[in-house]
Amino acid sequence: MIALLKKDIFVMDKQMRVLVILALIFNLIPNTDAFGATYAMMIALMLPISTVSYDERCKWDRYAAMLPWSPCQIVGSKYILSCGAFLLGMVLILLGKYAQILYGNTVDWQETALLLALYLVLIAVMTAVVYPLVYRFGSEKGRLVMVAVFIAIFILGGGLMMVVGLEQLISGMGALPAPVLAVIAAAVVVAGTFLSYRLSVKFYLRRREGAYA
Amino acid sequence: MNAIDIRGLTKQYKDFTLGPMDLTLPMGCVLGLVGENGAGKSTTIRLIMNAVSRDGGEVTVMGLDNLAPEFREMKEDIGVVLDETCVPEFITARQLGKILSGAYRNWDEAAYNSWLNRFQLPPNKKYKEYSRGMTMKLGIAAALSHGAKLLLLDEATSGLDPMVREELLEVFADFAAQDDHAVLISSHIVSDLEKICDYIAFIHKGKLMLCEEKDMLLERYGLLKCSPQELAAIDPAIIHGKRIGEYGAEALVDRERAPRNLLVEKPTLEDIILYLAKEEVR
Repeated sequence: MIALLKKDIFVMDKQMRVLVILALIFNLIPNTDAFGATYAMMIALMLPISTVSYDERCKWDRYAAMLPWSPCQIVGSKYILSCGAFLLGMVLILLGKYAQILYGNTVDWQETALLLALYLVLIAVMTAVVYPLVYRFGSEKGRLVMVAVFIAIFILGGGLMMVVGLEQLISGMGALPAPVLAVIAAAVVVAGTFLSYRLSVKFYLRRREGAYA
Repeated sequence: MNAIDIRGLTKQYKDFTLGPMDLTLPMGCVLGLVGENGAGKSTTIRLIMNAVSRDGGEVTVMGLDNLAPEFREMKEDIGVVLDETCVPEFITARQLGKILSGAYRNWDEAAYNSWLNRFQLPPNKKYKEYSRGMTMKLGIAAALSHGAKLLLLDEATSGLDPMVREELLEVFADFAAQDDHAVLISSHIVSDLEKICDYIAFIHKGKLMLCEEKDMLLERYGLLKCSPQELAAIDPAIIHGKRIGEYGAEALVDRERAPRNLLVEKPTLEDIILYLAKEEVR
């Protein structure tokens, strides 16, 4: 599994360095931390998924199937990569917040924690939706579906914010006891990821058999 | 023990059916899998590695059914080279070594570096900058660096110039010279297979037409050259393929049963395959 992660890191290497440096800059510039946080999370979502298209392009899966790796390891490594990318994004956001303190701004850590939890759920749900689609339809069509998911979430989220109001939404969520909120978020993330992983393995195997050719 | 034992293997796709196929590769031997593009050579190799599931039959690799859970561990002992190396284009040979060292427990970094050196492959050059010959050599270097006992080579010499092909064939022959090693090499370049193979299996449109010792095959058949009239007088049962031209006829015949008064030459493996591949095959 580590070998598969290594492969993806080697593949993303240059692209990742540029995007991470940009994300770091956006997070460190005064008053752009909100944009920087969104940017970091976008990278955390997109980069691991882009490795699937690299695999497709060089037919890596044909080779991987010949090596002592199970389909579960091959697919599972992508989920772990996404998890790692999220952690990296989180570190960048936190660095940005510390930078705000250095600039003399105040940081609401409770709001930051809530924001990160929201990002975690959002990224986990989107990842959980996108991977099975990419394994089922291929990376090109899968990306189109991913864009559709983005738009749907944006419209739904925007609508919800307009109806309830962002302040009330955050304060409403904040009103829930933190442990309850954490359990709900964890349940959504774990269950969604598990279902998504099982589905991705199934689609990966069918693709390997040539079912979607 | 046989390196590979295949019995009644079948695989059905929408527009292609492979098998039923019976094939045996003894240890210490090289088996050449020959056939036209799309004949089913790559599918056979994928089925041997359980990279696609079979519909019927049995595949045993070095005594182990390839559906057994332990087969994944056995893959450690099998080196595979595909027609395309399937390595991401931004990766260097050195990085590929690092990746594969995590895939194979028996990975031998020193052996890998020595192969890179022997094949004159720059370790820090990106894969996309390699020539076709270099990419195949890289695949072979990787396949030979984890103590494999069985090599599966899928069109590993196709698209390469004769010098490189010769060099690689020598490597394969050296590998197979050890008693506990075996090689299965698929190719449509029959002359390559003739040089190093002990056994020849010929697949045509998914069907295994023959699987025999190469020397027996070359001994059994003869290339008869005569007039069309003389050919017409010969027992059709001994003719395995024929070509009738304006000035003469040529036929692949059973050498032992061919008329003594006619010219029967020793065929090349390519002659045998080409005649058998024609639709006139009996």
